[in-house]
Amino acid sequence: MKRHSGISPFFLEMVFVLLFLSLSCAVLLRLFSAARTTAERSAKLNAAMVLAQSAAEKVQSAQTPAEVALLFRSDRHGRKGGSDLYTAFCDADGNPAARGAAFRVEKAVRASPAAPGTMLEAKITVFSGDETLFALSTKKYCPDRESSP
Amino acid sequence: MKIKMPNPCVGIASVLMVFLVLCLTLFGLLSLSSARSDWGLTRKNRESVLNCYAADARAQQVLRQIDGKLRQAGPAGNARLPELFDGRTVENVKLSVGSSREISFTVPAGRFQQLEVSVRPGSSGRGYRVTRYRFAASAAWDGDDRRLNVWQGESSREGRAQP
Repeated sequence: MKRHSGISPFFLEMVFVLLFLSLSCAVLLRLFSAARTTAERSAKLNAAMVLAQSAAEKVQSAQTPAEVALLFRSDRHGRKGGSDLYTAFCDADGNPAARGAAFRVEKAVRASPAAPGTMLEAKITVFSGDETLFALSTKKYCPDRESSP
Repeated sequence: MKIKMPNPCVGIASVLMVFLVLCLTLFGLLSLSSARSDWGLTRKNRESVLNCYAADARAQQVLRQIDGKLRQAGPAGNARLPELFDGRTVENVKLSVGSSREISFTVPAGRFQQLEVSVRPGSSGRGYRVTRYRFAASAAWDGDDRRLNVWQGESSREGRAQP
């Protein structure tokens, strides 16, 4: 007499399907996670570059070293290693935000005499938390006003 | 004799699961590929930005040297511009003085771009005015030299002359 095992083929199939699906989902989750991490890193670096370039262009627009302080007047000002340090906080869209926002932009500006004018050297660093996202150095030569035509 | 019919539901779950896994794999690979392409583009952009600002910083140093030389030369320097600047190298950048009495130089900014700067010394011989400060392609497009395999139309395939 033929005896049935008691497990229907449908039930057996469902067990295998769920097992395979869970394994596939585990692998696919890693795939989606990697894609999301890469996209976030890319977006963060892009935003950091925009913020750094914006600050660099502000330095470039200064006609005199004194103008730098005016251009960054909304930033927190301090001194670090002989340079003026201007710190600003920005949200993910690059808008000014309160302390502890998504990005921190530090501008270390040093004005050194470079006869017959002044050389402005700025190092702009964008942080996300403690991580450095992007750093940019720029220079601007400000000729002595009296010698300019 | 009683014939037992197979359960019609058997197999549907497997087919659906295979379809679902294939779709998810496809979407996952597409999103990863897109994210990686974006990252590659971002890195290229980063290099380009860094190169541009490095070239800009170098140009500012050259401007400082030019300003210093003009100041040293005094009012008589305006008449001696070719002698003072033409062919001279400052900060590894070669200067030239054109017929318009402008001091020009180019600073390479990466493989494909260069910063072109021209300054015109003041009439009093002191200071200068920047007349050109722009990024431009460092090499002309040489696409004309390459043969492009484009579709010429049915008439050319048949050997007839194009209208």
